[in-house]
Amino acid sequence: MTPEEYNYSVFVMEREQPVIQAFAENPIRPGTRAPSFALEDLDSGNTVEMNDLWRDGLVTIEFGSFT
Amino acid sequence: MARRYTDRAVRSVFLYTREAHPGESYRHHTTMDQKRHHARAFQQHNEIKRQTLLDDVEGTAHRAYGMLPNMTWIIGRGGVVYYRAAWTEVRDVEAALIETLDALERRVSEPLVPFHSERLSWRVRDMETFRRQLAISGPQAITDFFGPADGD
Repeated sequence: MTPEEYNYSVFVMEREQPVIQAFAENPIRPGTRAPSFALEDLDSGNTVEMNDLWRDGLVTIEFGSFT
Repeated sequence: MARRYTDRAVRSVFLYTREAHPGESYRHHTTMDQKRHHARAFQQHNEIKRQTLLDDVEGTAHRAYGMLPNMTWIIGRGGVVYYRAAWTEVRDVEAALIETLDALERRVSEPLVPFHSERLSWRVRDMETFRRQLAISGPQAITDFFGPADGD
């Protein structure tokens, strides 16, 4: 998937169903180990590794955007 | 909800992804600066107090975790996934969080073993609120989702 495909400029409903299906089949699920990726802290600009989020206990991660 | 569990060592973060419904006011991302700008606007508009994080413009983390627009995950020490939901519904997240916290505390003194469980959860479909949310993005976002208005 290219960055342009990921960041689509127009929402198309027909694209949603395959994503929902893929989520159901995603191998990352309860009981498995979550992968860690480098993120950016919006306020500080610092890099945050995801595995630092769960190092000391539980973390809830909500994904989303303004739109 | 996030504040209620901080004393139980629960951290809560928001991971800003691509725009699900781009419009004239909040176009699709082409740069990190643009993504940061949108995330700050979202943070201010919704008075978000949680730590807000961004993945890269390519959506590397978002794609790996399933790419849905408003997922919530609960993850514990060692990266163990305890919960994933295709949609964020506070009651559902909180129920899962309470159950997970309870089990992690009880297993210190009880012979608990985990097992996999799946179910469908439910949420209210509030189309008026959704339409108002789309309007923040711009008329295009409304048209892309609902189709052109009569007379267009």
